[in-house]
Amino acid sequence: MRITDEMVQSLAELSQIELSADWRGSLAEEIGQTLAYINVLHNLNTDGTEPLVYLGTISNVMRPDVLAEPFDRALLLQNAPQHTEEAFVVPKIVG
Amino acid sequence: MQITNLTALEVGAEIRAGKRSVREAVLAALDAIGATDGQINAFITVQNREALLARADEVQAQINSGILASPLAGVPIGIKDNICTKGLRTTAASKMLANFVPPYSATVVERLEQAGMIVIGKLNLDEFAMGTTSESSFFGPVKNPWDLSRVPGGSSGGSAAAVAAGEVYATLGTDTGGSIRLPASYCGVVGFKPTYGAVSRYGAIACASSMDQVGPLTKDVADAAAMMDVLKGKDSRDALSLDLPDTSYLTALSGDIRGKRIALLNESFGASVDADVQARMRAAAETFRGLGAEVTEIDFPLFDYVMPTYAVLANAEASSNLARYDGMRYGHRAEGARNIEEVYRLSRGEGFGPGVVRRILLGTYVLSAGQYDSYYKKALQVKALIAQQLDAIFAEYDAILCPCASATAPQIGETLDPQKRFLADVFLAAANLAGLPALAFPAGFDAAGMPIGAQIIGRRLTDAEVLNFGFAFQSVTDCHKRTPGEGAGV
Repeated sequence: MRITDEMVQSLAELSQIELSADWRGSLAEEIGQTLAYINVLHNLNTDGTEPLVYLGTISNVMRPDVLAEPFDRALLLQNAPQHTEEAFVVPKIVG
Repeated sequence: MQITNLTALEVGAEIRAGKRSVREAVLAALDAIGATDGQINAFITVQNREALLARADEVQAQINSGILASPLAGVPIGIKDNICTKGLRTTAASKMLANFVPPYSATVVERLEQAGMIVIGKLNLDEFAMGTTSESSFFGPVKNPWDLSRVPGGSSGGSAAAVAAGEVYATLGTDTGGSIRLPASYCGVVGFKPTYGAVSRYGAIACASSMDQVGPLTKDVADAAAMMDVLKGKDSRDALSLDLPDTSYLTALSGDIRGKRIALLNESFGASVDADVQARMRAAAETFRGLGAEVTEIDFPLFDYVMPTYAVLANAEASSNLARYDGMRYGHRAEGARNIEEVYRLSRGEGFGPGVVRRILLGTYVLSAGQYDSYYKKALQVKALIAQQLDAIFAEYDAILCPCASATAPQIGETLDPQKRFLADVFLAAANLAGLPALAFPAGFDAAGMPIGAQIIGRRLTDAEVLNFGFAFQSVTDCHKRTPGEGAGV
């Protein structure tokens, strides 16, 4: 399938990434080339093959329910682009 | 002998014997970085000198009083800058995290520090560890110490270049599809990707979680084994980390590989593999035969499906993992956004470089409604077949031998085609798909004097055995002892 500029724009919207209009065309071409390469997968018959998600034997991992040392709030807030003494500050969400 | 020419274990031994001080080792590393890193650009951040010397004195006191028993106590190391270090900026080589100071350290960093190693600074990489050349860093490309006009490989390019240039004795890298082994190969050092789960990922910035592993880059295999002794084992903060027996990989290095069966991949001699690389693989096979191993050439029929499978899974997982960078709690936030949606879109558009955006979009595509079954699910099925085929090989053989890359390091700017760059991992990504331990080690040089790396891949959880193959090889060869200083490099 050919990847169009519109498809790239739709992927960018799904990914929440602002793209410049002049980049969309070359991105469409690059993503199209990679997909053409990936399409070789369809030459292989995988009927009846279970998808392999986890390697090895995975069982539920349990640990004791005990309090651990919490992170210092000030330390966590210092990386925030905008914050008060106790909270992250974000643009208004509800109108 | 100049201190920077020693291996990590040699420096550690001299420190314990009182022949050198920890301060001397730290100052030598800082001097080496001062002399060469302006050209190589391996480091993004170097720790404050006074803080390092205070840490050196603290470690020295602990060594003197016998508290620190690790053979690597006092050894200066570097950490790839996608591994969190408390209080020390961790950028993932991205504008997105250019000012991020982690409130905690990765488990691997805590373990290395508890063993008395000294974190000199943070090493350059491809942005968010996505790349094979270390050219996509927000902080500028890394150069190969063997030839400054060439790339060091990626994504752990700074980690490999810093060891090759003698700036530090050992480093940490991460390997999702070959990101430790490719730069190790291009820079003539040792790089080890452990079995998936052998080393905690807690605090390593996630790329593709089903394949990400942290591992060491070192001057020789013994150093890599010593680093693994510190790094490996269960961590309650990484639920997929494995409870491993508390045996030392270093002391398990015997160099005895008599009777071991090695499968040499016929793909090592494919049309796209340079003649010099092919010749070194044949020579490596002869070296292993000389050590008493049986080497048999075999086919890996699903070889051509490894990279397409990897491409789908790695990009799908990365697109999901990188969703967390939203400009809210940490990371870059765009100025002038009028509402929350704009904060997301503009911050991510400004904060991510082009290679990262391309991968997020591709990952989003293969996970999107209508494409999920034909790409993502299909790739998981092919991954199952690849893992089965590797299991079948390991039912008959103890290890697989192949090159790390089809050619030596390309020129900076040479592989601008994303497709071409990506194919650099063609020999490497199978170990990630199947979670296998894999070792890159120097196997000689091409006609231009650039290092060629060989790779040994083993069964799951045979990390010590994989390291022993490399150790045996290095016990009868000396190409790993050559440094760029003797060639055309720095």
